[in-house]
Amino acid sequence: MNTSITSAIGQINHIILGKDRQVRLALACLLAQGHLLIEDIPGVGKTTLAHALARVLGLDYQRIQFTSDLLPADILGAAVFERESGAFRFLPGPIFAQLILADEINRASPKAQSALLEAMEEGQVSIEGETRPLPSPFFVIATQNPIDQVGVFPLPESQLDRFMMRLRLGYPNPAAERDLLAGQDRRELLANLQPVLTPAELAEQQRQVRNVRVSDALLDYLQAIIGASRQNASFMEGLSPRGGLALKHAAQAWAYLAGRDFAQPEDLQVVLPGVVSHRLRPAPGITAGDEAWAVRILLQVPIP
Amino acid sequence: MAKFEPGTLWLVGPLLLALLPQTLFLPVWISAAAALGMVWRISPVWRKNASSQRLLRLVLALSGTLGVFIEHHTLFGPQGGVSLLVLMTVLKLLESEGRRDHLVMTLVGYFLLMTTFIHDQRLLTALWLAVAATVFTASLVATQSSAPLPWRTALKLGGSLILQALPLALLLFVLFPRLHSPIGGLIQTRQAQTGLSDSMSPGSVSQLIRSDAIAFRADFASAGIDGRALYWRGPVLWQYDGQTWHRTGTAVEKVAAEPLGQPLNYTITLEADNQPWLPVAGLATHVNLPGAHETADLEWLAARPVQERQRYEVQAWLDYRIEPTLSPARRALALDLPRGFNPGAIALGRRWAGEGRSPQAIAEAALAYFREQPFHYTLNPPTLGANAVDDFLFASRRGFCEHYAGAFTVLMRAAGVPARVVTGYQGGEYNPIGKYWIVRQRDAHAWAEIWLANQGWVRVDPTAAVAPNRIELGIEAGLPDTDKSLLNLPAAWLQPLRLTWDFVNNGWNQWVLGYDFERQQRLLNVLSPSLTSLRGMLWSLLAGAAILLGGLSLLLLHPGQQPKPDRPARLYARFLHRLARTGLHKGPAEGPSDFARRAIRHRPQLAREIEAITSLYAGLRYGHAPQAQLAELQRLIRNFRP
Repeated sequence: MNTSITSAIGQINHIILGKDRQVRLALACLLAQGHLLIEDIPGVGKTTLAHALARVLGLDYQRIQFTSDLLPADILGAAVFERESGAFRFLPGPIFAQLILADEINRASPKAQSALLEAMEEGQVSIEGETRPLPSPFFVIATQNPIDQVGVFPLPESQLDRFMMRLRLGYPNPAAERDLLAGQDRRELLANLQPVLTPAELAEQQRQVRNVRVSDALLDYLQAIIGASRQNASFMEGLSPRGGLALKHAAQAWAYLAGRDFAQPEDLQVVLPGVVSHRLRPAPGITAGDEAWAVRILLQVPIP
Repeated sequence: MAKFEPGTLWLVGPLLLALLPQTLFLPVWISAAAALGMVWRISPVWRKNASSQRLLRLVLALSGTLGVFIEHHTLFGPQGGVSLLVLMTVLKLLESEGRRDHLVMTLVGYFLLMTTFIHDQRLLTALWLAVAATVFTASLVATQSSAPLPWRTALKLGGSLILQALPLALLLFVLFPRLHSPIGGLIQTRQAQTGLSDSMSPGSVSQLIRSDAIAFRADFASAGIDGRALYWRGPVLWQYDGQTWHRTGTAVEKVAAEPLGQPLNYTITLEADNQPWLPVAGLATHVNLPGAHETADLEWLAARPVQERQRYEVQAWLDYRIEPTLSPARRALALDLPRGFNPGAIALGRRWAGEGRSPQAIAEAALAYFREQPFHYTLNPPTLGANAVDDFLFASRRGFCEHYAGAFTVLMRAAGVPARVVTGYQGGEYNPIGKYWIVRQRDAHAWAEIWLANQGWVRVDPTAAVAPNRIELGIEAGLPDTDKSLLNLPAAWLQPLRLTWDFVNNGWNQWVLGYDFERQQRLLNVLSPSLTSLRGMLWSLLAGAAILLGGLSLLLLHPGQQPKPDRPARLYARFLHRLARTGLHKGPAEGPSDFARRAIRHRPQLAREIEAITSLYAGLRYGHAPQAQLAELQRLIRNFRP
């Protein structure tokens, strides 16, 4: 692994204190070319994390604050009439950036949500009958509030599946919280962040992630996990093929971050919670208990 | 048009299948009420007023119970109990909604299926009930599963569940200890159709002839016996009142009987006909059925009218001499004729006797009379007057075997030759698949016996004089074409199919329904004598069930073949095995690096080796490590001594 990634992790850890694993997972998600969903209560640093990632990766960055009256055109852009030229000119919306921070995505109406989610899937948008490619790389980091809060439109399962990972940050531990309370303003720190990668370098790193070896033995294990998710009666439905691929790519990225050129079972196990917990729902009559119930079941699958 | 919910169909459909065979035995009004209830349940009307029907259901339940009591005079037992069960099931259907009710309905449904066997144990019924049980199971699968299942999947799953249960059912069937006697009175056979009765009047046998029902099946121990040539004896009739022949009610002393030649062994499986007769051909010395006894007239009787299928083995002589001397009382009985009836016949008999002929010659004269005068063998004889025999002999001359046998006996008695009428069966159909003979009610027959000094009773079949084909080829060949439509004859092209079906049915009767205490003992004794004790049966049941269930779960839990572990995995397994001996076990879902960290924490002195082995293993199994490193891993593991 090259030093730029190590330094990126170090810089972000300076701002988001005590969340090393979540920072690494977020980075792994982006290296695996997946979109990221961060779900937590307000004020635990969701936006800061997204912002920091954009800065250190040297990506051009747009933030869209989702509200209930947001319209698709506010995201995608619209054609406006220009009096001088006497013609319509397309004004690109905030989606035309390499990294989008979709803040509080579940506050917007499903219509606005789907505008974003379609762009995520296709890598392009169609406006006024014209297809416009989105920049490359193109990432979406979405944050969302827990469903039980007031005034939210929960994302449907089909759209949740488009996020490679869903992470939770949680409260910092007391030591980290102490540093946070005593330390500098986060906004200033963010402004001081230096990019460690160019977009070309990032693309190269992503290519290397895809080259991380996944041996037959590991594929056996991956398939055992996918099979278990489909056969276990506790789940409403099993992992989709897209979910299985996400698991593989995330494990590759995690192995890459660990400096290995092959993935091993532990890599799958580490990324498993982030990749599967938003994709699996309990079957009717099954009480999930807590967030980690699905992960607990799948982590019992024996390694072949 | 309201669309039916799948849940409702799953509720009503299996119940309909379960109730259909019951309708053959239930009172008509109960079947109608059940049908009405099911229609009501699936109609949209039910859903509209579902909650307001509570009072109505109560009223229906009370009046239904009263109705069952009026119908059967009881609420219990095989008749009343089943009627009540059916009514209450349908009423329960009217308040069933949701999963829990569905579960209850299914369990009741399984029970309903079993009650069908009280009345009907035929193979076809059993197959039908197996289908119904599959549908019940499918309905359970469909409605209790977390996600809605398409009906095809549910049926497939239900079917595979039933199939998986089949070996266990078979084991239980073979090994479960049988009772010595059938459960008294619980199993109801269908009311006997028809059978030989203890009297004969013109038309009684020809009525019986129209029935297609099987009377019995005969299985000969030795091959090459022509079952058609045998006369299967039923009731022997002595008393004639001018219209009807009766058995003598009086018990008769034992008479001398002497078997001649070789004995013949055969097994009879008699269908229930609610009559006491056990058809036997020849002079039987041995009929192994509890309570079976013989009369002086060579009749064999069961202890009670036969209400269940009976199976008995017979040793008999087809050639024999019986009652070579006739006591005066029996002689008087064998010559008795009612006064004032049939003067013409009596005059004819007396004339033959007056000509000084021997008894044989008199019988010959009578047969010649039947042969030479224009007599017809027909199922449709004209009605006869008060002097039935005279009318038949001199006027109509159209009759069936009972006319000929009756008239012949009257002529003999008038001529002073002791004679009696014998009824029974003659003919039958050979089943080449099962190698046994099928004798039907259609093969019922009547003939005569005359007594000759020193020879005893000798059979004379006057029908043979009129319609020799009846005796040689069977009833179908003996009748004129116009009469054949009166018989229940099957189409010829169906014959092979029909015989195969009869063979299967016979197997079902013999081996499933007839699998009683004795058959079980005999079968188990062949397998192993230790199985015949109660203890042996129960232990082997337990062991068999354990093996079956264990095998089944192994099969289900490990579908397909496990892939063979590759070499690094095998070497690593050896490494794990060595560590396990020191009490350090890798969890099944624990990755190699995680385990290595834990192992090192417990055994820090092994850190270097564990790390080296783990990284080699991970590299070989998951990474790009060259195969050359395999030897290194092998060496490290060989030298690994925790």
